Amino acid sequence: MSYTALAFTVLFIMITMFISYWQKLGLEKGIAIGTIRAAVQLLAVGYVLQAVFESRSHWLLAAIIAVMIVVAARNASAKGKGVPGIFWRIAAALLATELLMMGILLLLGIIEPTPRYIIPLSGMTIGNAMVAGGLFLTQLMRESESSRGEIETLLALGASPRQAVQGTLKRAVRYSMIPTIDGMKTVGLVQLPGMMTGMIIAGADPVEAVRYQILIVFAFTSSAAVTSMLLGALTYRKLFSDGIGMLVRYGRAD
Amino acid sequence: MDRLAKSLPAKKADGGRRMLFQEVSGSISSGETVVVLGRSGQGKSTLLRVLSLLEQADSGSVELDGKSCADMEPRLWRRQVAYVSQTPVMLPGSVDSNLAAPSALNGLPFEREQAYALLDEAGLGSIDPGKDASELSGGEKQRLSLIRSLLLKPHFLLLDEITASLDPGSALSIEKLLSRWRSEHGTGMLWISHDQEQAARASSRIWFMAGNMILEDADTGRFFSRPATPEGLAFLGKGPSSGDPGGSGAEES
Repeated sequence: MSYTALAFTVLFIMITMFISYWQKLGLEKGIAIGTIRAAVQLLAVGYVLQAVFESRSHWLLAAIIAVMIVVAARNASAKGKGVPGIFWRIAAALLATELLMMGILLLLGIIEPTPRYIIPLSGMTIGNAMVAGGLFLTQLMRESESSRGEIETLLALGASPRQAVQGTLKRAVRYSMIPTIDGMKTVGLVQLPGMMTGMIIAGADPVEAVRYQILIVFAFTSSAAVTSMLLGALTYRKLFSDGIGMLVRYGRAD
Repeated sequence: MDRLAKSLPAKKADGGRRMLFQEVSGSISSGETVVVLGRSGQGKSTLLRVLSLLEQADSGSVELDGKSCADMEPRLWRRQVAYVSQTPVMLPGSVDSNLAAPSALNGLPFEREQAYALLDEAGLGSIDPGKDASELSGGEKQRLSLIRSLLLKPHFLLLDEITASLDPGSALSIEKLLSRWRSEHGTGMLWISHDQEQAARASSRIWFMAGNMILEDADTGRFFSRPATPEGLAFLGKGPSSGDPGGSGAEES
């Protein structure tokens, strides 16, 4: 696609702007900022990827994945506000998930060990793991409050913290998996995934594109499950106070 | 041997940093039952939650058999100082699995016969043990939750209005069950009750909480016949301040 063709796509933004102005939605400023950010970020990423693909430096590759994990962990840690060390716990869970996913893909020779494959697949895996981790934390915070009675009853019956939150953790992991599993059931029927669409437009054989999409969908389910479970194992202790091991109240204005 | 000494100069943070209770001290021997009396909002329930390590005291210390709770692993403490909450919470699963929970959690064998005998004694003999515990009535849950805690065989029991949703007959059989349990196992008990007749029947000593503290610590007989403070008199409805809303002045012509 030429830059002239790209420039014409601003037409879509103008349509949105017009509707916002006409219907007095007051979204003009947001749309303008969003448009500029999206264009700049995506173009920058394009050039960065181009440079990485050419340089073939492992360090550069590692740095890009590290940036992905840090940004994703920052985003998801907002869901676990108040929990000490939540950022590092999420980052550790995401890193472990990424290593596991890439380990399997590369060791079994499913994908070629080049940045061209590793970066997009890492980005998608980490992004999906981030969503799952965020959902898990949201639900864990909610559940630890709504299941307070159950957790405290278990504690009062001599349960260890781990035993007391087991049911709560299980429910939170299940909850975090729902979008991934639902997505798996409808993929291809309701929506054509972005990656597959992109490959097809760029000239790839649709069946080839589908094969990669299947890989992505399957990798997503395990990355979501692994991330939520790891995050659960890393965070459940933080639901309890250090000294007497009582259930901490998070998210309360004190 | 079972001595629970407790001094809690506690400044409970409750939203607006309200002092809930402070300088609360006392000790209970094994086999002794102390009933806590007092109007609502004195922090009676919070006191029990602090004693069962479900809530943190601001300061003060709690001991069991001369061992501080700070030196003991919380789960071991809670196993010996069992707390039965005012609102019973059933664990997911059947009546039977609720009864088995204490042993399952602590890796001990489940003495099913004893559990069922207790059910019977509490008037729950006719309940199908396979029934989903969440389908029980409020009063049934309350009794099941008490029995569940008894099966931990704790040294000490913290009971928070455990007969509040029971009819008088069932409440009496629970009192009888607890009194038998106490004489057989030597369990010490700290029992919150709003039923003064029950307090008189079931306890040997009364802690009367008022003004953020234990205002009176007296033998049950003495407290009910001659409370030492005006607040105690007023609480029993015989005080000089006869404007007691709980009195018989409700009868109108």
